[in-house]
Amino acid sequence: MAKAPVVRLRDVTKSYGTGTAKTQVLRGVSLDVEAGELVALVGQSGSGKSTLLNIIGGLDMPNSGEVEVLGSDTLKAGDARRAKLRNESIGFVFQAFNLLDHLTCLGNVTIPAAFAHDARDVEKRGREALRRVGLADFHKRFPGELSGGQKQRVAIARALFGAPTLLLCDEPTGNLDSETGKEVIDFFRELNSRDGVTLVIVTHERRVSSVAKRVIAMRDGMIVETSDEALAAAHGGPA
Amino acid sequence: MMPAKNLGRMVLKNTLRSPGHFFLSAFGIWIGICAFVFFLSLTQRASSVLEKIFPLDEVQVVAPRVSLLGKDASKKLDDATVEIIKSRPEVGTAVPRMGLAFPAAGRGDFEGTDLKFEVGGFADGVDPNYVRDDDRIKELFRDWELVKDDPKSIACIPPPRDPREDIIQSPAKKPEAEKPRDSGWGPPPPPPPPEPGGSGSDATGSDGSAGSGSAVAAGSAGSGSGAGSGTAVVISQIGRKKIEYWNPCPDPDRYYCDDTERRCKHRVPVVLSATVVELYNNQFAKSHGMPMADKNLVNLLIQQRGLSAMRFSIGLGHTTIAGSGSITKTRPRRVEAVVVGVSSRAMPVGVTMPIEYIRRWNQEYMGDEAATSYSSIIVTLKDRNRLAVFSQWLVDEQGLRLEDSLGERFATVIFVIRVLFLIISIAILLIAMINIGHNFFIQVSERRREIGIMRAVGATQMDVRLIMLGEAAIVGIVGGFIGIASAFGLGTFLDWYAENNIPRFPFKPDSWFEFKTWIWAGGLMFSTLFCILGGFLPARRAAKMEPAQALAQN
Repeated sequence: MAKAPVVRLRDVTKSYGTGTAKTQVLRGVSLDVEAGELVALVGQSGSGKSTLLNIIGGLDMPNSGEVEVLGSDTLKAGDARRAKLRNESIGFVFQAFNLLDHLTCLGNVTIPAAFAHDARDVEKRGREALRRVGLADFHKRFPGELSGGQKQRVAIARALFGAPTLLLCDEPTGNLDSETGKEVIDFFRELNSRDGVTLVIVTHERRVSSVAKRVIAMRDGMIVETSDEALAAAHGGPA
Repeated sequence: MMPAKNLGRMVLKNTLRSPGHFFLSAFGIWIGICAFVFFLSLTQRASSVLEKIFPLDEVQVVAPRVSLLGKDASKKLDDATVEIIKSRPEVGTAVPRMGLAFPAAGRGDFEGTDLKFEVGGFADGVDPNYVRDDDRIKELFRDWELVKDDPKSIACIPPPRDPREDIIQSPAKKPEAEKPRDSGWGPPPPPPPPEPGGSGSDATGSDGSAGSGSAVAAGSAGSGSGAGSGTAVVISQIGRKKIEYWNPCPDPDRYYCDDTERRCKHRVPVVLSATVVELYNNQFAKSHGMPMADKNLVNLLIQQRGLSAMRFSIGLGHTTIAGSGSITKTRPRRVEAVVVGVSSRAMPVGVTMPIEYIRRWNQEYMGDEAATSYSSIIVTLKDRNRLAVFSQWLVDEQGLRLEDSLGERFATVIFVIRVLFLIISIAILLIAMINIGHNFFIQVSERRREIGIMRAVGATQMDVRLIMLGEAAIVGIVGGFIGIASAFGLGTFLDWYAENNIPRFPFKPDSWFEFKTWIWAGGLMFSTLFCILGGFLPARRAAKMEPAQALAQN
């Protein structure tokens, strides 16, 4: 029996605003992401990549269509069910890091535990997550004391804290210099190949999409290509 | 929903990290709760003092005063009237009071001072079961004439009369530390050693003829202070010979030798009202150089020296008012009484005793009519809200009325003042609530990213709502506590100021505030409730915020 995809989208539409101000962001997107895939979502700004990622993660709701993530129909599931899914099985990495400035690195990494029932060994797991991203000695530091790359690594550690099955990354290297960005990409690739974590990465950058097993190109709220050619199209040249 | 422990921890951390917002939000609550607790405690104390002066849980039924050709033609209140009133559905109990219907005068040594006072018109009787203020009153406030075969009711020789005084002071018990002396009136003591000046060995009237008229009673204020008991004794003197008379009865604190029956009888138990004690404290003690008793004079003295400190004589048929004659059937006689306590059920100015004493004396001195007429009937209603119905029935069908109650009028005034203060306090709290709502809306706006992050890592809408409401509740609890503490502090300061700057007046309270548990607990509850209400809409907005939008707007 074929294994069910980690992400299954069918005819997903999404618009913002009403009347003349209405903007159609997604126009009937259908997509399957299999377990263990590393998928890059590429496309120009406003093409709907981030919206699609948010819908997959349950941070946003579509106007129509079907969304199934890790076997759960997130449209039919209630808020509590979606929150549980995010807490236990999905990790997010954002371009702006989105760390809480009043918490230490360890506090930021372990914040998902605050919303989890029966969370155990919270500090130990938090420190382990920090160690994995190379910030073992930074647990007492506050985000304001870190560089951009270090902040993003803390954000990745937070995403990994719950040992997620699916990692959703929105422009994870967008605010990083090329060297740090490369380190983050290498880390994602290792995470995918060694731990089998499924990754969906929204990116503008060729170096990110170059490590993806599959590249999905979007334009005007639609998937236009799902191939290596998409990579070339997205970046204006052959892959 | 997130675990409660985590919720509490997060709420506390969030509160501590923005003290500015916190104090901005808590300020209004602080002021509002301070006003709430302060005013309620003040009016609560005012009500308590008022209830001490005018017991409000009962009404008194009286007959309208009617005079015909100078004679009292008022409707008679008798047992039949009591029964009719009792039959009303709104009436719980109906207890008659009977006033002393003829002149009587009191005399007693009090703290070394010889006091004479009028009792007629200032004494009434009531069912002893109606007066149950404390254990001593419960034990002693009863009709002792009904006690049959009392072993202490032995034959005795009463004290000698004083030809210069209508009523002699109540004799003291013999001090235990003193050597036995020959009283000349009590049982014969062993022969005393001869004393220069002839102290007490010549027993005039040793045949027991009390009131032979040969003894001269000297006012003995303070003369007996060295007598161990600390109370005065009657010292009679014939020429240069002093004759002392000590109470010869067993249990002399409670028993005295009755002039008429020549037997030891239990003193008539009486109770005083708090009003009398306050009048003594404020109007009498200072002008007569007598000790003040801030709280409860009677209980204080009884605790210190026993009932002996509170005994006095009543001259039935006598009066201290010059020129006023008594129209009585019987010749005057003396009984002895003892104050057994302070009761809220005592007549406001005067003494109250078991009704059967009054009934018997009225019968003895004034006849049947006086022994069957009540001065008023105290009615306790099952429901105070039925007072108007009862009052109307009294007037329309019985030709009676309720005694004008100053207490009710004062209570109404205090109620209005309390409502006014409450409205002011609640208005402050409402403004504080709006302020909290405003502050929390600002916070929700400022914390969009934080809310988005929490949602992304697994917070539900309910979690976000509870976090915001929890923070609002903390503002309420802390603001409330500070408000309560401020009210306590302000009250303590004002008490101190009043103690040192406002002169004593009747019923001046020790504290002007009564910080009842329900007041401060209510204050805390109100502050928390108002804060949660204030935070409700911002919390709702925070919870409804789409996490993607919250995160995108950074």
